[in-house]
Amino acid sequence: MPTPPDDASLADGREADLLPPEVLERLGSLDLVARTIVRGFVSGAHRSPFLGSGEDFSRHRSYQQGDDVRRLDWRLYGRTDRLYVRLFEENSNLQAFLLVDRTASMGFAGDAPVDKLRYAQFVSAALAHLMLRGGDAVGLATVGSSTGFHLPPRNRPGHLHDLLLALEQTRAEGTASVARSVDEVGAVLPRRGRLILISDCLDDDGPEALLSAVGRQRARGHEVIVLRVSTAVELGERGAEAALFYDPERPNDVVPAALAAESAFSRRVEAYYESIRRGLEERGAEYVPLTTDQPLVTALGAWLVGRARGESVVG
Amino acid sequence: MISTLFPAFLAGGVGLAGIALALHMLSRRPPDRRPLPTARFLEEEHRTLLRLRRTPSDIPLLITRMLFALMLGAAFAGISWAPERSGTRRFVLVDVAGVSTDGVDAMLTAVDAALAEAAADSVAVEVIGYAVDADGSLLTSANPEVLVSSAPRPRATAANGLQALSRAAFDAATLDSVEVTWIMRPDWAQWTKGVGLLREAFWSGAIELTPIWRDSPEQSGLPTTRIRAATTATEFGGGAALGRALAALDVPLAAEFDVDASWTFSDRPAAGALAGLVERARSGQTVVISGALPQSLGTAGPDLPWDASVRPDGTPSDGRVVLAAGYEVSARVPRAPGSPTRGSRVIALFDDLSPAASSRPVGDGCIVYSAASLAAPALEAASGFVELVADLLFGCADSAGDALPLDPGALSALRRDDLPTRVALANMVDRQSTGAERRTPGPGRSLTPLFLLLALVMLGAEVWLTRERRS
Repeated sequence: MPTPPDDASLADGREADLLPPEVLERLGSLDLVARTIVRGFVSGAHRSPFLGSGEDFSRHRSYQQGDDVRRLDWRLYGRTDRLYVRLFEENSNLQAFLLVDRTASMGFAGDAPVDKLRYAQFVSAALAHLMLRGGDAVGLATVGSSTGFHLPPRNRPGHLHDLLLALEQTRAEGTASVARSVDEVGAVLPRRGRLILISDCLDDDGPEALLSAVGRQRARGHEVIVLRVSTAVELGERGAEAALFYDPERPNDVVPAALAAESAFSRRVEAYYESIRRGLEERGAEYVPLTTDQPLVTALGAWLVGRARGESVVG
Repeated sequence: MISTLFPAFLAGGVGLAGIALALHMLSRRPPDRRPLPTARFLEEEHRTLLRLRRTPSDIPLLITRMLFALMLGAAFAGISWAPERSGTRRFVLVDVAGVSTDGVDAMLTAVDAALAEAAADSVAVEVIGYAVDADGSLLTSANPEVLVSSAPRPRATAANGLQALSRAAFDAATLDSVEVTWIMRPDWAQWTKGVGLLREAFWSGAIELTPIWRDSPEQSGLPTTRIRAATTATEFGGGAALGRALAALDVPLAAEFDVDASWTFSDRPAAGALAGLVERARSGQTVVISGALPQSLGTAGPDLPWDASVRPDGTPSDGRVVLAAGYEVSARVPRAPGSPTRGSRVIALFDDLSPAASSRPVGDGCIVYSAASLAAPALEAASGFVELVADLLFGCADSAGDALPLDPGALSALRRDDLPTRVALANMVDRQSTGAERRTPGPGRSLTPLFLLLALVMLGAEVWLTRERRS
C-alpha cells in the first residue's frame, strides 16, 4: 500500500516528493469539472457567464486604453474610422483557494506514518497541480491564529512551485476558528470560485459555525469542497492503551480513558462527522472523508472519478 | 549440585526484592498523557483512572529491579556449582618410603588384604604406591613394590600421599564417595595434617589407615590404669580451676602429695621433677603433665608421650582443645610446642587438627601429656574444661581418643600395640563441626561472576527503562 511521502524540502527542487509520480500519473487522466458556472479563462471544460478572449465572437466594444491591440477589429476601423475591440464567448478559468487547516490538532499522527497536516499538504499539492493543469487559478490560505493568505489565485509559470513551497512551510500550531477562515477566504474570492477546505473539522465553535460559514459561501455562489482529514485512532477505529487523553488545542482538559475499537467513543465521533456531512450536503457543499492511512492516489482518484461521474462523496 | 557459602546474602537479596515490590505497590507514577484531537468525545472512566495509577510499563521495571536485587544477593552468597557426583571408588594408598626391604612382605600382605576386601565388597579399587626420591620429587606407581629401594631416601609425609592420590584420582570430584585404605608408617614427626587435607579434597567417604612397621611388629600388653584410691595430689601452684573440675568429677583432691594417689597432675614441671613423675607412673599412677616441658628431659625423655623438640612450622602459639565431634574447650590457651612421640596415643586435638594431648603406658601406669597448660587462667571459666580433665584422667584407657572428631582411625593407628589393626572410620565427620570452621569454597565452579554480570545487566536495563523519566 503506497504511503504518503516523507517530509521534503522544496528549496532544492524536491517538490516532486509532494507529488509522487504515481499520483501525477493518476491525476493526469482526470479533470476537475466545475459544478457551478464561474468566471475566468479556460479552454475547454467550464462554462462561464462572462465574455472574454474565447473563440466564439460575441460583440464589439469601443477600444479602451489597455485593451489587447490584437483584438482590434481593423476592418471595422476601415469602415468607421473608430477603434473597436472584438469580444468573444469564453470559458473563464476558475479561481480557487486551497484553505489548509494548520491548527494544533492537525499535528496529530496517531499510528499513521504522517500527521494530518502533512497529509493535507499532499492533498493540497495534488489538487493544486490538477487545477493548474486544467487552467484554473489556485491560491493558498491557511487556518491559524489569523487566516494566512499565502498566495492569491494565479496560474502562471512558477506558481505551482511557489504554492508548494508555501505549503511546505506550514506548521501545525495554535487554535483557531475554521469557520471564520472560511468566511474570510470566501470574501476574498471576487467571483464565484471554488473554496477547498482541507481540515479535520474539529472546530472549537462546533459544527454549526462551520456549516453556517459554508452556507454563506454557497450563497455567494462559491463551490465549497470539504476534505476531512482524520486518523484511524481519532475515529476510534483502533484501540489505544489507557492514558490521560487531551485535545492538543486544549491541553489542560484531560480525560482518563482507554480506547477500544468500535466503542461508544467511535460511535460518537462517527455521529459528529455524519452531522457535518449531512449539513454540507444540505448546503450543496461536497464532503470527502479521508484518513491518513489511505493511499493518496486511491483516495483522491476515487473521489475525482466519482466527481466526474456525478457522484459526490468518496467513502 | 549447588552449594551456598553465605546464605544470609541470598536471603538479603530476597528481602531487597521484596522491598522493591512493596515500593512498586505503594508508589504512584503519574499516568501517561497523550494527545487526541477527538478527546472531547471521550467520557471519563473511573476504573480507567484507577488503572492508570500503575501503567503496564512499570511492570518490566519492577521485574528488572527485583532481579537486580536477587542477582546481587546471589553474587555475594558465594554460590557454586559442582556436577552431581556418583559412584564410589576405593584407593589403596601405599607409603613405600616407610618400608625397608625387610618390611616389603608386610606391605604386600597389607596390599593384598586390601584388594581382597575390595573384591569382597565389589568396589572398584586402585592401588597407588608413593615414595620420595633423593631430590625430594614424588614417585608414584600402581605397583608399590617397584618403588622399594634399599638406598636411603627421605621419608614421605602424609601430604606426599595426598599428592600421589590427587595425581591418580584427578577425576574423583565426580565420585560420590572415596574410600582410602592408607598403608603407611605413622610418624608424628612428619605430621602435616595430611589427612585433614585429604578430607578436604574428598569431602565424603572413609579413610582406613593401616600402619606398618619397619621391624616385625611387637606385641606388648596393654597397660592398665590402676585406681588405688580416690585421692590425688597436685603440684600445681594454686590449681583452683583443676580442683573444681576434679570435684565435679567426684575425684577428691589431696592437699599434698600422696604416693598412693591414682593421679598426679604436674604443670610445666622442672627438669629435675620429670624423673620422679615417671617413677610414679611406673609404679602405677596416671601422671598428667601439662604445659611446656623443660629443654632437657634427662632420663625421662624416652618415656614421655611428647617430644618437645619437634616444632612443626607454622604452629600457632595458642589454640582451643577439641575433645570430640562438636565438643571443645571454649577458651583459647597457650600451647606448648612439640608433637606426640612415636607409639603414643593422641587423645585430644587443637582446633587446627594438630595433637593437643597424648598418652603412653609406662610400667604399671601411664603418662598423659597435655600441650595445653591446665593452669592457664582462661580455663577457669571455660566450658569443656571438666571434660578435658576427665579425658586426661583416663588418657590411657582403651577408648581414649576414640571420640575425637577427626581421623580417629588415623589416630588409633598410632597405637603401637594395635598391630596390625585396621580401624575403619565410618562416615567422616563434617568438617564444619570442628572447632575451626573454614570459610573455603566448596568444590565446583563459583557462580559469583555470572550473578555479578546478570546484576549489571539488570542495572543497565533499569537505567534504560527509566530514561524517559530523567529526560
